[in-house]
Amino acid sequence: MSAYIDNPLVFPEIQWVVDAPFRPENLFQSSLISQTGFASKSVVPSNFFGNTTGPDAPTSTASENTNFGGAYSSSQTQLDSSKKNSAGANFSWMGNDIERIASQRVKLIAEKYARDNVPQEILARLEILNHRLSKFYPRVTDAQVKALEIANDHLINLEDAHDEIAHRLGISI
Amino acid sequence: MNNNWNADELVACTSQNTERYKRNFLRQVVCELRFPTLMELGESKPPSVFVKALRKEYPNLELANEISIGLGNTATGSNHAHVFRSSKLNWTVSLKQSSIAIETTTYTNYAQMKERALRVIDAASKIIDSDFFTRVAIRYINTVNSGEDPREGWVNPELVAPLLSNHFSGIQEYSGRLNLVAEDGGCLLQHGTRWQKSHGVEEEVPLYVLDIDTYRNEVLMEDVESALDSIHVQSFRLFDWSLGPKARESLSVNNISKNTGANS
Repeated sequence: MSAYIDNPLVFPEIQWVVDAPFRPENLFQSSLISQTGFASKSVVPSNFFGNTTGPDAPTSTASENTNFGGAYSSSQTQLDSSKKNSAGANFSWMGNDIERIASQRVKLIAEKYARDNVPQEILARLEILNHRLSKFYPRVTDAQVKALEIANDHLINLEDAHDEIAHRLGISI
Repeated sequence: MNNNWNADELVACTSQNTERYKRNFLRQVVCELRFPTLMELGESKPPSVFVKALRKEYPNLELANEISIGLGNTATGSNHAHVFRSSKLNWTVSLKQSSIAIETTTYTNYAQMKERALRVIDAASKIIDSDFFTRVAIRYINTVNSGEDPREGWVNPELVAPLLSNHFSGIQEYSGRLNLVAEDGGCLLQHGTRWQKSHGVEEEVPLYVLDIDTYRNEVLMEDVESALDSIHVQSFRLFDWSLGPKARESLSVNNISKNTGANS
């Protein structure tokens, strides 16, 4: 009686999952420099009632200095925004820029932890960036999920094959 | 698309005077829209797309430096605000990291305010990288400066009851704050008066401030116009309720006097 083996014990996909965690490819990036510079001028506010801060703060006028309870570091960092042009694809400059999204996210997280009261606007932007980052740079990609599903199917097939062999040989596993 | 807000129910009183007033008491009107923070907008150079869109109507551009000084655990820092002004300097648009505001000191009517605001919003929609605003608000700052005591028929007696009660004397300042809040918006009425010396005259001329700030939260870009309409209706109802009969008569007359402002 010869053992009937439907499938080899080791599959390339399984081996690949075990030995080679998925690494996303590095994206091409270039920087855009914004244009136009103007003279600065301080504007002095005037208000009959005292200002309050926080999400329920009154609507501030254009000439008021608003204070949301803190600000990020005064160092000016050159922000990188990129236009990615791949073959057959056309991305907006706001879209597929992983590094830029990550950079913005880091700054906002720093801003968030530097403040006592975090404005809704910072939290909202963080949510948007988190969503984009998970969309363009997911922790688990579709390819990984598919590979795992294939591996799982193979394991199920293997189990069925072993059960059949055992049944033919009249042994229990 | 949301055309109804729970906050619409905060002010139950309605007004029969929506088409009545020919003048106003407005000193300043601000329409502010807050959006998810975009750090790039705090740089020294504003987005060129936005500048191009506003250049014709607001040819004067200034860079304001906002400095916040924190104590204890609060950070200290600065960022920029871009201020665009009309040629007559009576309309101002400011662009900051988290907000855009349209402001005027020569308000005539809501239609004009709305038209300008929507043009700015249209330009801003291309740069703020968001399809919603966290807060949309209009703030009407009225000063009832009639030359007479505002307690005498110019302001709703319900607002100035302590002043009319004759129980108190030596009042230098009087103010109140009515904060109405719903889950999707609110309305803040700040009112008060301060007795002060007028220029060159020893008599004290009190003016009464009616500061009405109405807002809606989490407004989609497509619902902004509807939100502004809702805000204006509610603001006007609250304003009209705040007035006394003399103020209503004064606003209904189409005369030019030094005490003009508007909430119509």
